[in-house]
Amino acid sequence: MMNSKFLFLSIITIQLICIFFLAINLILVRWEIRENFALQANLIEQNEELTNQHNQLLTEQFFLDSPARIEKIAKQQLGMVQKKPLEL
Amino acid sequence: MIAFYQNWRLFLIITFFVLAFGGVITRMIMIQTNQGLFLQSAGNAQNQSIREISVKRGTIFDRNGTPLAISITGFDLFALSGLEKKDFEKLFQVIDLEKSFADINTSKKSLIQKNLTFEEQRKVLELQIDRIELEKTYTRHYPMGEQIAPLIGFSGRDQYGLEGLEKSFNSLLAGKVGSEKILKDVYGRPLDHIEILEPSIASKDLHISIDSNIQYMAYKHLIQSIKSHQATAGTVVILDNATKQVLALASYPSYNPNSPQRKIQKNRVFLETYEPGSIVKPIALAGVLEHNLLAIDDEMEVPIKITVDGNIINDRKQYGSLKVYEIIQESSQVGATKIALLAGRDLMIENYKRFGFSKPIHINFPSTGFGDINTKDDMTDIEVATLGYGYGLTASPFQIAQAYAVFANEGIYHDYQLVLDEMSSQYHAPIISKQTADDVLTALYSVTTDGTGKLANVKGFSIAGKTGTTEKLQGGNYKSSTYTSSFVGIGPDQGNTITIFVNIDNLGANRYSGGQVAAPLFQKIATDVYAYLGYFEDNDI
Repeated sequence: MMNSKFLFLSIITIQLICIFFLAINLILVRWEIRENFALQANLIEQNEELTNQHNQLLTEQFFLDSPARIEKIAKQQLGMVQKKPLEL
Repeated sequence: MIAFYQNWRLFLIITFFVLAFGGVITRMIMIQTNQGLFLQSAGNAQNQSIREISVKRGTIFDRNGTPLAISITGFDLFALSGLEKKDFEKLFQVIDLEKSFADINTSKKSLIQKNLTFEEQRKVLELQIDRIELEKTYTRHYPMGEQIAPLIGFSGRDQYGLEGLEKSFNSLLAGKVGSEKILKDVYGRPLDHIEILEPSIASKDLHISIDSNIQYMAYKHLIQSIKSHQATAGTVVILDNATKQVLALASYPSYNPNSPQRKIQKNRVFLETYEPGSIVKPIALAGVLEHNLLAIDDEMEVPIKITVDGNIINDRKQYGSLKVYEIIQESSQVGATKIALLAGRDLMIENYKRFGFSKPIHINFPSTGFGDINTKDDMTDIEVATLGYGYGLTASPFQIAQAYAVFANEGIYHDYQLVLDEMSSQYHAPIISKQTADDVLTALYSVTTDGTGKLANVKGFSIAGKTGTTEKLQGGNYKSSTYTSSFVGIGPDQGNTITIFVNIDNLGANRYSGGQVAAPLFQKIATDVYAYLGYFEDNDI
C-alpha cells in the first residue's frame, strides 16, 4: 500500500518536472523562432538592398561601357576618326 | 464557544474568498459573452497585421547579361494626419527633404518625399515617429532607352507590363504579390509569422537574344540614314543564321520609355506590313528553280517593255536578253514578270506561303502583323505578274528577313528565336533544296558585285543581297512621290552567318531607290557588325 502510494507520487512529481521543463523549452523555442523570424526579415531586406545595389551597378556599368559613350569620348575627347578602307 | 468563535472566523474568510472568486468568474463570463469578440479583435489589431508579400519585377537581360529593363526599389515617405512640426524637423535632420513643413497638408495623408534609399529609410525608421508612413515602391529603368523601346515596351508604376515584351511576358516578370498575417511587437516590428493568406509567386528574369551593342549599331545608322534622307520611319532586322537567333530589331520612330510623357510608337519590325517590291523577286525565282521550270544560267529574252492585260511593264534600259541570275542582278521588271507568268498563280502563291508570307510569326509579342497575299481564284495575268515583282502581297520586315535566311540555311525555313528562356524547339522545315538555295545566292552575289546593290558592298567581304523600291499605296492609288526603300543582305562571305534587313519608309522623290538609300545603310551596319563579331578582312591583319 505504501509502495503504490510512493510510486503514484513519484510519477506525478516526474510528470510535473517534465511539464515544467517542456514549458520552459516551449518559451525558449518560441523566443528562438521569433528571433529567427526577425533575422529572416532583416536578411530579406539586406538581400533586396544588395540586389538593388547590384542592379544600380549593372546599369552604371552599362552606361560606362556603352558603345555610344565610348564613341563620343573617342570622337570628341580623343579626336579619333573612323578607319577608312585600305586602298591597295 | 471558543471553537464556534474560531469556526465563525474561518467561515467568514472562506465565504469571502468564495464570493470574491465567484465574482471574478462571473465577471469573466460576462466579459467573454458580451465583449469577447470585440476585445479579441481589438487585441489582434494591436499585435497582428496583414502585410503584403511584395514581389520585385524581374529583369530583362540581353544575350550578354546587359540589363534592358530593371527595377530599382525605393521608399515613398508620407505624412499622416497630425504630424507635428518637431517630428518633421527630426526628419529634416536625417534626410534631405525637398518640401518644408508648410508644404505638407497635415490634415490628411500626404507625400513628403519620393524614392528614399534603403539607408534613408533606416534613418527614418530609427526616429520612431508615429505619424509617418513608408511605402515600398519599384521604379522601372530602361538603360537603352529609345534604342530598343518598341521591342521591350514598358510597365506602369503598378509594375504591370503595358507594351512590348514587358506586356507579353508580364506574368513571368511580375510574379504574384501575396499576403500574410504576422504578429508584431509594440513598435510595429514583425515578430512572428501567423499564416499565409495568399501565397506569392516569385518573379523571373527574362533573357532575350538581342545583343545590345549590335542593337546600338543598327539604331544609330538607321536614325542617321532616316535623317539624312528626310524620311520618317525605318527598320533594321539582324539575324544570326548560325544560332537561329535574333541579334537586333531596330524600329524608328521610337520613344523614351523612361519618360512619363512618352508617346508610344509601334514596333514596325513586327507590325508594319508593306508591299515589299523587288526584294521578293529572288523568292519568286526560288519557286521556279525548285520546280525545274528554269535553270539559273538559262537565257531569257527581256524586251524593254511588255504588255500584260493591256498594262505596260517596262525596264529602265534595254537588255535584249538576260540570264536568269542577271534578271535578279538588274532587278528587271520585265524579267520578273516573265518568271511570274511562267510559274502561274498557284505556284506563286504556294511558294510565298512556304517562305512564311501571310502566316503569323512565332514570336511572343502583344501584336504582330503577318501581311496578306492576293489569292483570289480568277486572278488575271497582270495580278500574277505583279506578284512576281512584289506587289499584290504584303509582309513585315521580320517576315522578309526570315524568308531570306532560308537561302543562308541551305533551303531550310527557321523560326528565329527572340526569347532565350523559351524551351520549346523552334519550328524549322526544308522548303527548297540546297541546290536551289545556292543558285539564288549566286544571283544575289551578282547583285552586289555588278547589279543594283553595289553600294551595299562591305570591303573585303562577299555579300549576297537584294534591293527593293516600293511606290507607296495611298488612298487606293500608287503615288510616285512616296517610296519605301529596302535592302536585305546575307554575309559575310560564304559563311552566311548574318542576315541583315533594312528599310527606310516615306522617302521623297529625290533619292529613294533601294540601291541608293537602303544599300548604303546596310553597308554601314554590316561593316560595324562584322567587325564587332570578329570578322576581319585579310588586309586588316
